[in-house]
Amino acid sequence: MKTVGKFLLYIPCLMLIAFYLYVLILGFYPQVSDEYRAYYIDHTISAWPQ
Amino acid sequence: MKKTVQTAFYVLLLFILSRLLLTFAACVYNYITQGYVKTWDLLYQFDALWYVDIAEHGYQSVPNSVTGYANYAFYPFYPMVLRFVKAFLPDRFTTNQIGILVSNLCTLIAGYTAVAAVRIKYPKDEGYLIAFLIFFAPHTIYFSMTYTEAMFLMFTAFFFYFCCQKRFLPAAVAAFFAAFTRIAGVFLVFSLLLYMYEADYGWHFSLSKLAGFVKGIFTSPLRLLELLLCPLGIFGYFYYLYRLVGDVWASAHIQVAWHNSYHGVLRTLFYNLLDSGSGTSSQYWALYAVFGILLFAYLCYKKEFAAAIFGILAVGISLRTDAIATARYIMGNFAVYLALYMLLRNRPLAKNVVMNTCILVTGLMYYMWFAGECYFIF
Repeated sequence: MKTVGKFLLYIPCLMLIAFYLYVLILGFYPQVSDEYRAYYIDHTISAWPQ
Repeated sequence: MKKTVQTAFYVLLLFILSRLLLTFAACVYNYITQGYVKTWDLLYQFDALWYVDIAEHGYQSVPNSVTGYANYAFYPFYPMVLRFVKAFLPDRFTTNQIGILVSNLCTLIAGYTAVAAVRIKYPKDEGYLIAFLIFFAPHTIYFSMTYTEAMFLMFTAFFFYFCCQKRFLPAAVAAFFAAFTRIAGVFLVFSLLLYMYEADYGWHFSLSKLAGFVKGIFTSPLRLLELLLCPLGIFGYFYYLYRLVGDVWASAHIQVAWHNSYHGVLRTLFYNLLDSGSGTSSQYWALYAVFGILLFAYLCYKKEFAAAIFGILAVGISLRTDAIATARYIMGNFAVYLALYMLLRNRPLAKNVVMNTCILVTGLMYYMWFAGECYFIF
């Protein structure tokens, strides 16, 4: 019973690891406008385009 | 039970005295300016406006079209609590007033928890000094207003309290909420790792012990879960930002609209100490950062590695870009209070000097904040 409970605890662990990896992967592919990317991410423009 | 009630009473008394000082400073300010502004309105400045806006309207889907500012840099748990509490209170309470109420309650709980934590470490101590420091130390004005500092301090105090008791699951839950309140809370995962190692092996390091410790994490799912729980809040927020803005790192990227980055702790300290830095108070901020770093070094000297690593990383992340508001981040860090307590507990003269200085300087800082001269203490 104790062993089963121990193995059941791995399930939320695996779910959390999968979620963190998914978010980290999303971090490599921002879905933003060209202005946003230029100003906030690439810093190719020095002021926010009004 | 009697001791618990007595402790709660003394902590409450110290807390009330500290808030009397704040109210007195507000009265002096109103007397000098011949005006009458309510204390909660005097406290409602700078980041408090952002938190109230988030609590009332949520996060922006696009940055401000004129300034490029956006509210993603402000972490969600504190405004969520404000929104939740507001739903249960009559409409006459403004969000700012609720923020002040919540922050003060968190400060009081943090003070009590801190006393309980140092009593575990030093069973012969009364420990009230740490509560005094939390209520009266310079730059603790932020614990009285709609800022996240008080809530963050409360969760980190819980974290260290539970770690002192070697109860790592509630400590991990506290770390989860701390990271959901401020980004620096995520570094508690490293402190948790160190506390776990200390519980298993003490501060004796060897390759075989390190290997055994790492193996122990993966073979004990509860321990693994405790470690994985710490960053859940922050990753949840990152995912929310991706759904809202399309950028997981929006909370970091958005900082560019506020100020330039020095791209490194040493560069930040160098330019702020020796150059004009980011403004007239830059040398003060840089010196405060050095003060914080020295306190964390003292924690290392006392073998409080878990607290020291949290302090160094939490302050380091802000110093990587600039020294602005460093004093606030340092005095919002529980490791600082732990270091100050350990430094002063057996030095009665130094303790008296520090306590009296705290009251004078904090009273002055309250007044300066009310007078709008916030740049110095920002």
